[in-house]
Amino acid sequence: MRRRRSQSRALMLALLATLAGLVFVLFPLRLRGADAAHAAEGGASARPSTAAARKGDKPPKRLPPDDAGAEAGALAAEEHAPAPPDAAPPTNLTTIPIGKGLPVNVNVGVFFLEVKSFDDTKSEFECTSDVRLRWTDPRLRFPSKNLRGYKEYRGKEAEEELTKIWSPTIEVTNRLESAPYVGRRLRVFPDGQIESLTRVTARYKARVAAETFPFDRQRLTLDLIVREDTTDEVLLRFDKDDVGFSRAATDAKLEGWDIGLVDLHAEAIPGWNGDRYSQATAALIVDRIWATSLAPIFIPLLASLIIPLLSIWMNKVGDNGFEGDAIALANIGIGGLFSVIALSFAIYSSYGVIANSDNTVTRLFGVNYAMLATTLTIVVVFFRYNVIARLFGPYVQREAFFFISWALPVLSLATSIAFLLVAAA
Amino acid sequence: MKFRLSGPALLIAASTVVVIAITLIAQLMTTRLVATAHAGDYDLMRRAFTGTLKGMEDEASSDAEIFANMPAVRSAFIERDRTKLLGECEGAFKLMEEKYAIDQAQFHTPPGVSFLRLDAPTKFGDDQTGYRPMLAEVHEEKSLRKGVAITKAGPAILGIVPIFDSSGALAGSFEMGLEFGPVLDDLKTAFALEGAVFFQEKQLHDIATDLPGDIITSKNRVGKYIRYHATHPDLAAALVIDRDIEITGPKTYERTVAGVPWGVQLMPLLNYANKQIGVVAIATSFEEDKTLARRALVWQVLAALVSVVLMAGTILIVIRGVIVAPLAAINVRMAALAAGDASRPAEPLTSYCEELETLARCYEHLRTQRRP
Repeated sequence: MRRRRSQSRALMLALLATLAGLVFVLFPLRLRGADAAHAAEGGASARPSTAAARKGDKPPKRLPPDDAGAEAGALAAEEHAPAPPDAAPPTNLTTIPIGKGLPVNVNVGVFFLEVKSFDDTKSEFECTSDVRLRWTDPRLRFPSKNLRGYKEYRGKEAEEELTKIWSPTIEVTNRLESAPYVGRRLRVFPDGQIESLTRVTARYKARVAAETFPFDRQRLTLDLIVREDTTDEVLLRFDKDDVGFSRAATDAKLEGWDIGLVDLHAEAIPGWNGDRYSQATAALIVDRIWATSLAPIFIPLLASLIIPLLSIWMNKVGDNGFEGDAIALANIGIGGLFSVIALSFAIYSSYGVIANSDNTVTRLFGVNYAMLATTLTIVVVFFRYNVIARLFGPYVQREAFFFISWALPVLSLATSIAFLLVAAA
Repeated sequence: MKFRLSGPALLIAASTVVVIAITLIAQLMTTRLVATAHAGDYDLMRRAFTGTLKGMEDEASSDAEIFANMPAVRSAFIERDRTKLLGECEGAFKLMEEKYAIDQAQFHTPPGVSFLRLDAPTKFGDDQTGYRPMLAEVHEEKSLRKGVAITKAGPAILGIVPIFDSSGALAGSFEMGLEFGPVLDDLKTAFALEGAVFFQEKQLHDIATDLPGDIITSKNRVGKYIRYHATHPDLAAALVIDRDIEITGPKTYERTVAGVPWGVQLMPLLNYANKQIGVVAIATSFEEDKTLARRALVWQVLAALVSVVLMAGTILIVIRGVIVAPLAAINVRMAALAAGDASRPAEPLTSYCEELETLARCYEHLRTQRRP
């Protein structure tokens, strides 16, 4: 019996000991968990701004990919090493720099490295140019340590760097298409001045003015415009350094044209609601080598002036009036009309740019048509119907014929030369 | 004298002279018109430069006034506390230097001794009254002065204001100096005028000792002057050369560069004491005017030629066709008739003018009488 009691007592003790052990084991753990939970609550309340920022109603500001990545990295870094509560938020360098006030002055310069072609009939040209933009972002100032005195980035490195900072969004409005390769160089100077250089080979639309053909001067322009910011924010301008930079390469050549200076021009163009947008134009001035168009255009044009005169010179006045056959003489004029039409078709199809404007060639064609009309009128009125002789007598007709024989060529030639001189003036 | 030749020749010559005279007068008027337009352009250049310069002088003066009347600045200067003064002004000056092309700023103690240069704080103590009459006069007259002057840091557009202590006694002065370049740059932006400013090399050498080394160079030397700033340096080098620049009064001339005619206005640049310290050149393109004038000349000559040809034709047709030729034909017939040949009848009477119809009729009458 005692043995049974002692066994049951031992079992009870073992149970109690087990329970006590469980209590000892379990209680400290629960207490530690409560402390940990309390500590977590206390930590959250100690950094309300971070918590609020994570739970805030406002969506986070959308940033460019690099900045978003930087922000994510910053947050990740924050998790591992919390920033002190009063640390400044990371600076967003992609916003417009207002350190020197607005508008931000962006200096523009264009260097024409190579002019590959200029098709004045299509009003297009192809060239390789360096567009230099300079502006100041005081946020990018740094103490100068290296010998060069500036930081330089090239190619992809420059492109990557440009995504991290603010740069003016400039569009070349007359660019038609460009080669895939774009060369870039970026320099950041200790005083915060940024110099961006972009080399592009592209085709551009040109505004060809053929009024003074073949003595014309054309402007191969690059029209740069800031579309996203008004002149209150970004202003394109140029100074003497940009004027010095803007030129054509000394060995640049363009067949049929003489390459001249580069003309810079800046202006504001109107937009919606009274906004104005800054535009800069860099124009490479080229002068046509007029001698190249002499043989194919002007010699045939001046020679065709002789055809209608043949209708007069081939006739002869005798005692009994005109001796030439009026129909044969009229045929010369008709033949001349067709030859001038054929010549105009040939010239206008080859030089489209002069077909749709008032210029020396169209004026000379005008002289040709006027001469043809005049001589055909003379053939009909003088030679066929003897209108002058009937009205004023044979003596007047004779003198009028002699006068026309020399006056018409003199006047037509003088007018033609005048048209050429006016174009050359 | 054969009227057949001399008559029309005389009339044609007279007509030609008249036409040439009219053409010359028209050309003279065109030339004067262009000259008047160019005179207006030169006047605009002068007024634009003078106006812009005055505006910059006013700006320099007002900036100087604001600075000098800041209480903390005034008290630091009156106390002659250089360190405190620099601390009060340095930040504001750097800001203005960056944003507004402020080039120089300096405090002076009487009679004109540099107390603090904000653009070069370590350099002070030099007496400038010897070569800066404007500064000396500010201290003498105790009133504001403004103008162009050459200082140690280089040429600038200056405004100098006196600073008085609480008892009203002169404590010194403060000056603000603006860069010269923006004056010409503004002219280019506003009026499309190219500009250049030249200063006497000797004065730059003697006074502007802090100038950067790339300014006084042979490349910038024009006569006794140094080209200090130009909106288009290459163009300025071609437009103003040694023989042009030696002026004592305004001078205008035209010069063609790269096929483009330019009108150049030179003006002496005077300091406060009306002593010439440099020359300003402003230029504008006359290409459009010249082209139009040349075109007008071509059209006038063509119009004159057409007029002469048409008048000559009219004279020849009228004199010869209406008078001389019919008269000659009657003469020939009359001579033949006198010789006994009555076989040639006169032309139909409609071939003659009324005045000759009678003669032809008489001839026919005589011829029919003589006919067998």
